[in-house]
Amino acid sequence: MNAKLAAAIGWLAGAAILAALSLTLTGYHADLFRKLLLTATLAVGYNFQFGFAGQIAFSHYAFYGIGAYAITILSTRFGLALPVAALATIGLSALLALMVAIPANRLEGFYIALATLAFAQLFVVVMVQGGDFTGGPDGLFGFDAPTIFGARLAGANFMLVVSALFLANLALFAALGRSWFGRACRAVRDDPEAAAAMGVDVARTRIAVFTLTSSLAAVAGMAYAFADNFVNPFVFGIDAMFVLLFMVLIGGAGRHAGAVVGCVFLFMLPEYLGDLVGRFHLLAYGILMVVVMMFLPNGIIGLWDRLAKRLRPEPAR
Amino acid sequence: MTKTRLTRRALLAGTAAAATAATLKAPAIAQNAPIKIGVITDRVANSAMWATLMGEGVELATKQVNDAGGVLGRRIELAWEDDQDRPDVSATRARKLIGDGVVMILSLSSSTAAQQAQTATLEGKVPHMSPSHSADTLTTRLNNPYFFQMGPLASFQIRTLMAYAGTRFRRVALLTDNSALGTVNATSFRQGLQQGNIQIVADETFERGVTDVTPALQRVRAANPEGIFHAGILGAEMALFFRTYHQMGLRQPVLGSFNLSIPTYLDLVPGLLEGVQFIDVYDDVKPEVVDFANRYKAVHNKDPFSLPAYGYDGIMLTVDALRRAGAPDREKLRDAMHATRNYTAVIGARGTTIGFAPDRRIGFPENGCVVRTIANNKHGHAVWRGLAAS
Repeated sequence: MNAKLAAAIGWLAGAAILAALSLTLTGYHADLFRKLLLTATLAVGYNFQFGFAGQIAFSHYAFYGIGAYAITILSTRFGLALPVAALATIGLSALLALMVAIPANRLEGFYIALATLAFAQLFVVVMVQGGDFTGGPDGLFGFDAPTIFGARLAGANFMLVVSALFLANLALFAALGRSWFGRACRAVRDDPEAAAAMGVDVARTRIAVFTLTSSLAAVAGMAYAFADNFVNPFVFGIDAMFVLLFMVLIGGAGRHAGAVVGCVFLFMLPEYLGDLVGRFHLLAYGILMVVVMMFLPNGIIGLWDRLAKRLRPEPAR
Repeated sequence: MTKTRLTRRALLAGTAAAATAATLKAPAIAQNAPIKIGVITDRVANSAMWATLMGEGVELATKQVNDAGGVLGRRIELAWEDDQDRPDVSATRARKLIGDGVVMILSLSSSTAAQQAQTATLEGKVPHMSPSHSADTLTTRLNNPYFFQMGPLASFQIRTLMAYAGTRFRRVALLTDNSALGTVNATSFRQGLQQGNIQIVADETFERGVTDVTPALQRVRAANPEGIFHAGILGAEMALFFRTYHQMGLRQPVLGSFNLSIPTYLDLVPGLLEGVQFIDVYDDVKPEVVDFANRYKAVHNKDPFSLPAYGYDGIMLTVDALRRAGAPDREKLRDAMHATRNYTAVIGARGTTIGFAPDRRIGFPENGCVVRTIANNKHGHAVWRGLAAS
C-alpha cells in the first residue's frame, strides 16, 4: 500500500476513534479522557521542545496556565468575544514566550532550565498574589462554558474540540519534525557549532522553537480552562512540569508516538495503582519510572522498536 | 421411579415463577445494599498530614454506625479516592464517586481541591461536604446548593484570636507559607487584623521547601511586634520556624490558626511550642468530646484531638441527615443537610451547635472556636471560649 495512503488512513482512523470516544464517554470517563488528551497535547509540544530541539525548559506548564488564565480573564473580566479573547491570548503568550526566549537564548543548557524554572515559579506566585484579578489562591471559576456558532463548548462538543486540538498539534509537530526546520532543530540539539557551520541560524531556531511550543501550550491551556470551568494556580505548578518531563522521557524523547505513549502510561498509572497499593501508589509510580528509565533508555517506544525489529522478517540477501 | 415430563405449560409456569421471585427479591437486595459515602482524601501530598488523621475519625464513625445496625436499615460503605491534593484530580475523583453511586462526598484534602471538586458535585447534583476546611470563599464564590462547609472559617478564627488577645496587641507580625490554605488563611487574618486596627508591622511568607527562615525572622525582630500571628500550614516549614524562633531568642507570643492543633508538631519539634496559643474546635470538657475520646482511645490507644473529630462529625452529620431524609436519595439528603439546626457535634465550643441557616451553607458557629495553650509539650485544656460564653 502507498505509504501516504496508509498514513492518511491511520490519521482518519485515529480521528474516528477520538470522535467516537468524545461522543460516547460520560461522567468520570469523559473527564479522564479530556484531561488525558489535554496533557497529551502538552506532551507532544514539550517533546518537540525537549526531544527534538534539546531545550530543557521548565516553563511549558506555566504557559499552559497563561493560556488558561488569559482566556478566562479576557472573556469574563473584559467581556471579549471568545475568538477575540483566543487571538489575544495567543498573541500575549507568544509575546511572553519571546520575552523569555530571547534572553534565555544567551544561556546554555542547565542555565536555560534555571531561567525557565524561575519563570514558572514566578507565574504561580503572581497568580496566587494577584488578588481579585486572578482570583488569588482560589483561582477563577463559576464562569459558563462558551458558545461558538450556537454550540455550547461542553460535554461531547468540548471533547470533540479537545480531540481536534490534540490531532492538530500532533499533525503539526509531525510535519515540522520531517521538515527542514525539524532537521535544523535536531542539528542544533546535537551540535550547535556544527549546525551553525552548516548554515543553521542557531539563535533563531531556538527562539522559534521556544515561542512556537510555548504558544501552543497556551492554546491547550485555553481549552483546559473550560474542562471544569475552573482555573487554579496550583494546577500549573512545577510538580506537574516534572511529570510532563518524565512522560516524554519514559515514552521516548524525540518520538511523537513516544510522547503520547508516555503520557497515557503516566497519566493512567495512578488511576490503577491507587486501587492496588493505596497510599504507596506514588512510591510504586516512582519505582516504575526508575525501572523504565534504567532498562529502557529509549523509552517505551524504544521497546516497541526492538520488538518490531525482531518480528520483522530478515531481508533477502 | 416416576418420570416427570417437562411440558411447555410447566416450563412457562416455572419461568413466570422464577421471574416473579426475582422481581420480589430484587427490591429486598437493593434495600439491603449499603449506602455509599465517597471520601476524597490525600494520601501522598501536602494535605496528607491532616487528611489521614481525619480519615481515622471517618472510619471510627462508620464502624460505630454499622455496629449499631446502620442507617435506614443499611450499612454505610465508604468509597475512598486519593486526589494527591491536586484540584483538577479532585474534580475527576468526584466524578468517579458520583458514577459509583455515592449519596454524599466528603472532601478531606485541601480547600482548593474541594473548591474544584465542587464543579463535579454541582454538575452531578450530589451533596458534598467539607468537614474541616476554613477558606471563607468555599461557599461564596460558587453557587453550589449541594455543597456544605462544616469547619470553622478562617475569619472566625482570627476574630476569636483577636477577641482573646483583647487590647494586648497593637503591632503584630503576620507569618504564613505559600501553600494554598496558608495563603487563604493569611488573607483572612490580614483582613481581620486590619479591621481591628491592629498594625501588621511585618508580613512574611515562607516558601514551600525553604531551608532557612532566619532572614525573615530578622525582619520580624527588627519590626519589633508585640505578637506573632502564624497562619501557615506546612509541617516542615512550621517546624523550621519554631526552631529558628528559639535559636534567635525571640520572645513575642505566638498565636496560631487551627492548624497548630495537629499534634504532629509536638513530635516534630518537641518542647519548642511551649506557650503557643492556638485556635481549636476541640473543647475537651464537652460531654460529646469525652464520649468521642473514649471511643477513639479504645481503637487507637492514644488521645484524640480535633482532626479525627472533624472526620467523625462529617459522617455522623451525614447519617443524621440521612435519617431525617428517610431515604438515601441525593436530593432528599441535600434538603435534610440544609435543614440541619442545633446539631451538637464533637467539634465546637461547649454550648455551641452546628446548623445551616436558610441562606448559608456554613455550619460552624461563629462563636464555636476555643483557644488552647501548649504546655509540657501537650495541648492544654481550652483556656478561652469567650465568644461562646458571650
